[in-house]
Amino acid sequence: MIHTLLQSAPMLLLALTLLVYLISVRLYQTSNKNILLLPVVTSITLMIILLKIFDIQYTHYFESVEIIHFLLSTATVALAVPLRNHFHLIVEHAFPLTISLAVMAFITPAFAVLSAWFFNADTAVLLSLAPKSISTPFAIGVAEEIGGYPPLVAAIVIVTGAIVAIISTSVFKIFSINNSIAQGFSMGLIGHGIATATALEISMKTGAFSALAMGLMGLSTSVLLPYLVSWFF
Amino acid sequence: MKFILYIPLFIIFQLAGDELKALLGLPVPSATIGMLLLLIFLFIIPQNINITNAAQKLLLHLPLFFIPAGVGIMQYTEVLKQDSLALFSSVVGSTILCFILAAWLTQRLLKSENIETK
Repeated sequence: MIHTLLQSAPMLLLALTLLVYLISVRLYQTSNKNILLLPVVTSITLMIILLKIFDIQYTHYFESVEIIHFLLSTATVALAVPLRNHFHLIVEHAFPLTISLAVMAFITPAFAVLSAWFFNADTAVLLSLAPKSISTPFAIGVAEEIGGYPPLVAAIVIVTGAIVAIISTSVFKIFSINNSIAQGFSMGLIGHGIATATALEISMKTGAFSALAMGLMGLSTSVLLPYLVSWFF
Repeated sequence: MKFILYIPLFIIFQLAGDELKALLGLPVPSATIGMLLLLIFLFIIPQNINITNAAQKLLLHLPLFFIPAGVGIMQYTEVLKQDSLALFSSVVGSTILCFILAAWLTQRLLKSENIETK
């Protein structure tokens, strides 16, 4: 009964998604911000479980909640605001940030590919792993360019971002990373938009540098990677 | 509630990004183009607290906007099962390693910059 209801009324899936999100945020807050209950991870997991239970196809689900997906781009555009408000700091630290970006733009895809190559993954999987630290629209484009497997790339990218978001606070504590610019920048470099969501929770300043790193890493990886790949494969 | 009035501003730049990408065939996501256009616009106009508030309110719910794309993982659980060891070592192992390296390197470079300027 519920199945047919959810199939016929897309608004219900929209409402269900909002409900799942609210519950996830509530869980996170009442758990005293336990990082394992990160809202983005909990809501995606809960939503997948619900769709499996009610036997609803992903394509149908996506069409029903496309307005939420539309707002992802709107929010990405809005990241220009914290960037504008902290622009003086970006200019002030342009040199170290550029070096850090240049180093990580080479190392991140190299490590991603090498660690999987060690376990004999086939070439298509290796190429799908290379763009894992850049936001989905960038990563899909690069994957198509170099011969990866776009749907797999999307999944890898999201999980990568979630891992960075989950481990960030512990890493900052263990390695005493207390500079908020370094915190934000590294989160955006390796964990793109999903980690940026967590960085914004720390502060707007941390979020601004995460957004900056996300954009720069996306741009440089999509330019660099096709060349790197043509040398090695 | 005044911030609501400013959300359409972001949508205008989002759509402008879409158009510009299609027009020039740029290999950059349209949201990134929209972000750059808005950034330029924000330098032209005087700083506006309402725009800042609107962005803050919208970005607070960034995790919500990831749900539709994120749920897409459910289609690929089979693919993820093959090569699971390689995927795990790369997605978990190399991500943690690179993140530690990125955080350490950035902080280190920022510190050495301070010493030079002093």
